Amino acid sequence: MVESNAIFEIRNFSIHYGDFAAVRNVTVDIEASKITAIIGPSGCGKSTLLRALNRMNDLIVSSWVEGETLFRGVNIYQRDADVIELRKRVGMVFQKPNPFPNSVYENVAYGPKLRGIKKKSQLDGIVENALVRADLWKEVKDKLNESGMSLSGGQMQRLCIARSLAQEPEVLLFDEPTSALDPISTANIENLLQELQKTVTIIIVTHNMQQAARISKYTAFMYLGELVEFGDTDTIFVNPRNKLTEEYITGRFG
Amino acid sequence: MAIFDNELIALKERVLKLGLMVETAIRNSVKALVERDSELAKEVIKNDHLVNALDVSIDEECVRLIALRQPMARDLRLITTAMKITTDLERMGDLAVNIAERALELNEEPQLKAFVNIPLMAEAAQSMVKDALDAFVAGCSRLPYEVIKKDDEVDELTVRNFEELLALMIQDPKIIPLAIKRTYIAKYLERIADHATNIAEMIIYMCKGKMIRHTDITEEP
Repeated sequence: MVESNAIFEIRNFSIHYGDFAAVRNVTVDIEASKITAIIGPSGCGKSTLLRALNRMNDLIVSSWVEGETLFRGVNIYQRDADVIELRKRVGMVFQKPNPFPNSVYENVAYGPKLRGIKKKSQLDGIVENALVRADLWKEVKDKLNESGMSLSGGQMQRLCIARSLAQEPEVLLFDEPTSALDPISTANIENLLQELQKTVTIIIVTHNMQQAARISKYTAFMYLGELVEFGDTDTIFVNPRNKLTEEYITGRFG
Repeated sequence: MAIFDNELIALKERVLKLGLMVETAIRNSVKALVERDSELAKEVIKNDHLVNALDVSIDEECVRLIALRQPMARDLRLITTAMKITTDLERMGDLAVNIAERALELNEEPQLKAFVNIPLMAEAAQSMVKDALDAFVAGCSRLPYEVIKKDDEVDELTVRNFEELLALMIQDPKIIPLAIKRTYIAKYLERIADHATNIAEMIIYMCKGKMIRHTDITEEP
C-alpha cells in the first residue's frame, strides 16, 4: 500500500518504560506527503509511538526501544544519530498551545536564530513565510511584537505550527492538536493540515475519530501497545477488518 | 451508547413494519385480482399513503441518526442500507397499487381464464420480500443470496405468462385489452421481485461491506 513512498519505516518496533512495554512490535510504513492518523483509547501507546518518531521519549530516563525506525532509510536510533538534526526535520506540535513567553515574531524566529541565522532581512522573510504557511499572517502581521500569549487559543496553536514550519521540517507530528480548541479553530487547523500535507508529511494522534476520518489518508488503530489495524481511512471507518477496530470506532469498546 | 443501540433496534423494527405493510399490500392486491374482490383492491389503494408516510419518516430518522450519532462502520452500513431499502419498499407499495388498479378494471370485465402464473409469481415475490427483510433483521446468512437466485424464477414465470397470453391473443384478438392488462400485472410483479433483489444486495453490503450490485456475484464467497 505505502511501500513505494515511505518516509518512516517502522520495523518490529517496541518502546519500553522500564519493565513496561508501552508499544509492542509495531511494523508500519508512513507515506510521505500524506496525513496519517493514529487512534486508540487512552494508554494504547499512540502518543508514545508518535513521540518516538523524533525521539522525544529520550527525555524519559527509563525509556528504551527495540527494533528499528527508519527515517528516509536511516535508523534514527542508531548510535551516532544526530537527535538535534532529527528534531529539526521532524517537528512536533502539542495538545496545549505552548508559545514561548515572547513576541509573535520571536516565537517564529527562535529556531532559525538558534541555527545561526542573524540577518534581519532573512529572519523577516522566514517569519513571514512560516506565518503565511500557518495561515496566521493576515491576523498577526500588525502585531508581530505583541506577546504570543496574547493570541486566542486557535491562533496560539497556529503560531506553534508556524514556529515548527520555520525550521522547514519534512514531517510534523501532532499530538491532539485541536482538543483544547473550539470547533471553528479546529476547522481552521484541519484545513491548514490539509494544505500543509502537500509539502510536509503529517502524523496526527487524535481522540476525535471524526477528525481522523475528515482529514487523514491513512489510519492506524492501536490498542494495548499494539498496532491492531492500519489501512486507508475510508476502509477503517466504513468496513474495518478487525473486530476490535470495529468496536472502538462504533463506540462499543470494552 | 446504549441509547444508540436502542435507536438502531427501533430503526430495524420500523423498516420491518414497512416491509410487513408492503407484503400485505402485494398479497391483497393479487387476492383482489384472483378473487375479483374490488373492495380489497380499493383498500390497497387507500392504504398506500401509510407506506409513503412511514418511508419518509424512516428516512428522516436515518438522517437524524447520521447527524447526531455520527455512525461508523457496521452502524453506518446499517443506516445507509435502511435508507436505500425503504426506497425499494416504497416502490413495491406503488406497484401493489398498480396491481390493485388493474384488478379494479379487470373485475369489471368477464374473467379471461383462471389465474395460474400470476399467483405463483406473487407468492415468489412475496417470499423474496419476506426473506430479504428477515435477513435485514437477523443479520448475515445465506438468505440474501437465496433471494437473488429466486429472482430468476420470477423472470421465467414472466416470460411464460407472456407467451401463454400471446398465444391466446393470436387465437382471439378480441381479448387483447384484457390480456394486455394481465401482462402488465406480471410486469409489476417482476419489478417487485427486482426491488427485493436490490434489498438483498444491500443486505449483503450491510454484512460484508461489499457492493455486489451490477456484478456477477450471486454466490456467497
